[in-house]
Amino acid sequence: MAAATPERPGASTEAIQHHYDISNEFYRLWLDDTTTYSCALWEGPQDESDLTTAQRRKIDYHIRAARAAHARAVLDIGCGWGSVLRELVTARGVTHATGLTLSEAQAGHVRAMNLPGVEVRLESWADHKPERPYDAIISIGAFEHFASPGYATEKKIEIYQDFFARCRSWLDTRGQLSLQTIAYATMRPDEASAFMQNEIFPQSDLPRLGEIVAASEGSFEIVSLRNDRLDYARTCELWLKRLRANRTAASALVGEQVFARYEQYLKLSAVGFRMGKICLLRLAMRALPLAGSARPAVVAS
Amino acid sequence: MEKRSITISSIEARIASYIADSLGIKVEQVSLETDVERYGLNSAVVVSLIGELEDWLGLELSPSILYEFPTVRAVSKHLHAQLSSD
Repeated sequence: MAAATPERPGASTEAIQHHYDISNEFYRLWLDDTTTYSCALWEGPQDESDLTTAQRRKIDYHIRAARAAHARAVLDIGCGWGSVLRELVTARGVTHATGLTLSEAQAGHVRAMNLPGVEVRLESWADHKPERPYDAIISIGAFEHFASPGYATEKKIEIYQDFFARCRSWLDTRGQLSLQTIAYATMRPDEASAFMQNEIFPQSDLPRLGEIVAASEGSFEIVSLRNDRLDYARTCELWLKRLRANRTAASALVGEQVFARYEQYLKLSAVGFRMGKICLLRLAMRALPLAGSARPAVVAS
Repeated sequence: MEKRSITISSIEARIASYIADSLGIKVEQVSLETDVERYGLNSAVVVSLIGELEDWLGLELSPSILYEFPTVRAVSKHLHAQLSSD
């Protein structure tokens, strides 16, 4: 696959679509009923909730962390198949919810849901120019694609700084950002699996917690931070179980090779989270006052 | 190999030998009572070990089996029980 374009760092649209545009039906076979493709949330190892309940709890957590309920406008960066957008406008009294994704399959799916007040844009956060400020921003499982393998820490921090500064400029004064991302833990970037970086998530490299903290300084204060890596191990194990239970249907949709690739990816991820090689961060972040201005920097409508 | 002839000891030996080969140490240096996690295997080696056990035993295993049953002895006992009930 071609290298990321110099204009926009991180995974290209083509690289994102390599993973997310395989087949909506394929993902539906092994994700939960809400088609949420990120780490679920349990209340500890004794919690026996099923995957759908744990995904709903995760969505609820982010809506609370971003203080998005009853907001006028909310932005979802990396909206996936729209589970957060749907919850915001159908159950949490949100008037406008904007979703960003680089996946055509996901954007098409969200548009087909015809959710009132929802706009989905096939657009990177780096190109987003909102017409009005947002009251809250949620970003789940997108940050992992903002940098590419081989970038120096300084370059990664620069990209993440740009992300946080833009989010800050789009938020109303009291706005909050709820961010969820996988990050390196005991694994060093040079130890990352070539299989994962070439065949599963091309052009994508994980952040480190320190890079996120450094990059958010001046834009956001961190209100809370959780590492729920065992929840992601559990999520991957359940996805793998469901994928294997649907082996025939999944292979018919995407072929034996892709099936085997996803089986391996979910096994490696589950073990990586169990071992603490990688972790799962959830950060609630409060916007800091904008320097020299009390108004969010948005395009006048 | 017939599944019936697989004993707990043979499963223990297979896992210990796999760990020893991966680390370049003697099989005698692998303790059956030590948490496998303490050997510092990387994720790919753990996944590959579980894959080998799946092929050998004809079972579909959770990738986290070595965390649910953390020692060679515990996981071997569990796998043997699973084989017997299969």
